[in-house]
Amino acid sequence: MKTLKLGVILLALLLAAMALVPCASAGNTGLVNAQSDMVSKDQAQNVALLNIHDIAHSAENFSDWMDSTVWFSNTYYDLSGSPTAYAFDIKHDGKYDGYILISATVNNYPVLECSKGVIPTLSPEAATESLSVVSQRTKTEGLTSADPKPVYLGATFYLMEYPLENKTGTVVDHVFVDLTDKKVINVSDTGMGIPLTKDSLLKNQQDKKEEIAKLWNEQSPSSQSRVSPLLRSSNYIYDVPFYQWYLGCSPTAAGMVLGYWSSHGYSNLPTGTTVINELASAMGTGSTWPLNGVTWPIFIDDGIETVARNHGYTSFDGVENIWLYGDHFEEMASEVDAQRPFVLSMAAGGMAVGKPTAYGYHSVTGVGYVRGIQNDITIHDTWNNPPNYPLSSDRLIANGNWAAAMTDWVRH
Amino acid sequence: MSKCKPKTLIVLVMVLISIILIAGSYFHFGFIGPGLPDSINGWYFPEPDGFYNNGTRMFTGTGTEHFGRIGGISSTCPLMFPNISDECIGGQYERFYPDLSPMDDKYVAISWSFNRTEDFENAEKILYQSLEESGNISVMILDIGPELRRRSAIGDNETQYGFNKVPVTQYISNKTSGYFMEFRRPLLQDREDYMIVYYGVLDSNDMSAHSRFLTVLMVQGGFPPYDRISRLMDTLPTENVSKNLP
Repeated sequence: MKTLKLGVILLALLLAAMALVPCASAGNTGLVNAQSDMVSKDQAQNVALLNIHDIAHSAENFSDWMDSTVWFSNTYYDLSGSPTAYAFDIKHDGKYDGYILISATVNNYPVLECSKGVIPTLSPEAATESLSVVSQRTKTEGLTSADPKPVYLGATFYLMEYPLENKTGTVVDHVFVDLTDKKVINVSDTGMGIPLTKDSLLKNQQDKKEEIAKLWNEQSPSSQSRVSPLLRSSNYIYDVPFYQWYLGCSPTAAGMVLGYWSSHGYSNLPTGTTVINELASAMGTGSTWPLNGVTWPIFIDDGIETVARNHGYTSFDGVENIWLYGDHFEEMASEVDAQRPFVLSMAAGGMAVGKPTAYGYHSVTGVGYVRGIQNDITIHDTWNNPPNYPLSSDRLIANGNWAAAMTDWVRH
Repeated sequence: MSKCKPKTLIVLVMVLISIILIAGSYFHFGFIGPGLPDSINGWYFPEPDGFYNNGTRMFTGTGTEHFGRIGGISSTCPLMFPNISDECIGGQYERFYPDLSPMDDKYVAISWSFNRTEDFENAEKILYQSLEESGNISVMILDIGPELRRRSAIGDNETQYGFNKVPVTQYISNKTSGYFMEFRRPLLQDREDYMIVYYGVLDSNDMSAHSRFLTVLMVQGGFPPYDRISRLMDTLPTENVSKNLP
């Protein structure tokens, strides 16, 4: 009896310990509602201008931003009504040429997003479609919707908040429409769990705070710590094939690495769906529900080595690294400088620069980097959703735009 | 046998379950993947991969001809068919002579996507009824072998599908004529992804002149595994259809 009581107590303690395993909302990294941490619109405009010129220096596709100007477009808010971001239109020769989103507080990265596209909340389609979604609610409840407010909660979380008024003009409710899915959402469901220990999460948050503070300190042309545009650098590995997702993201991403080496001195290595098939088998990618397409990341390097060995190459060595946010960037740059593509596996990955969909738990192939005030990694992400994600286009993802990551360098 | 042993066993099992649950939640079971976006709208769609010609993105067609896409990809589908899905993309294409002077022929590719079985089944019924009322429809097996062999001959290994015939629904009218296919759960069996794709020529009902070039667009767009391809309003391809030519 005593043993049973002890067992029950132990079980209760263990279950309580489970509740302490931390989960972090992907939309809450660094967003703090504190008046003293606010950034003014004028400050944000200066930051926007500074950074579009930096990006123009660093990324060839954005070189025309060099002589562009920025015009304030909109303020975005969080769920409690505090500003989270300022959107600026980028204009080149008087014509619209993209947007840049600057944090409204110093508790988040200065530059949140930039793109040559249209910010989701401002597209005509978004206005029409979100209004249509809201009208389904107002019709049934005899309410009217007031002017909407754009909400930004972090990567991919663009919402429109519609106050709903009764016949006397009193606001009685709010409706939030997710502009990516065009659906009304329950705002209490916007959190996402990530697999970190409490200690590593605290360190992650602390390191991010320090990095964010450093970046804000550099947001001045006269800043002593500012990296000169002339010192910025980038590098890229050409001829890494673009493979579309097949059987799973991890074997597809690793397949592109071996596909590259197949045409760079290791011609016995298979390519395309053949190499992806072999990798999926070698790294144990699931093929049935509920693990269909799913891989244990710790087996990615083993799978690469096995496939290479099966085709006569025993020198291939997959080297794993775990990243908490962006702490292996320089090592990654060295791999690119050595012309060695690699596999990057993300937990709660954010979106690519200027794209609308977060990567989540996803493996991609690293093929380059852009080093600047914000460091980016160039990737092939296996997705084929033109026009947003055309397969044969590189994507940029900000270094650290994930909760945790693992890289597999492929050396020989 | 001690009276305590069964209780000890219960305690041990409870502890073991707790450890497994904690470890699982700690590591999120350690999985990466499957790594797909929520929507695969446009996943199979002809995307030019070649050079630019006066701002038009080009790709190589059959023989020495070339195709180019006219403008960008539209997220509002052409009005020639009913609006059966909110997730739809369309593109127009033109052919060029070897000297890159344009031909008169214009082509269209459309892809409708669905992530619910019920929505897909309702949509295919609406579309099929519309096609019956506006033109002639028939079923056939389309030979894509010549285009696959041409690709293979120029070193394109990405078109090794393991089949060189596909089941299609042919549609002929004066406004547009072409081929419809359905892709059912093309990527993962446990994901409700469905697509209806159309490749057609505009303002022509002469399929004999354009069929070969429509296969160029189709192969450029790509295919899922053979058992995920079907005609409109059809189940899987019939067993007596040979998918592979010698």
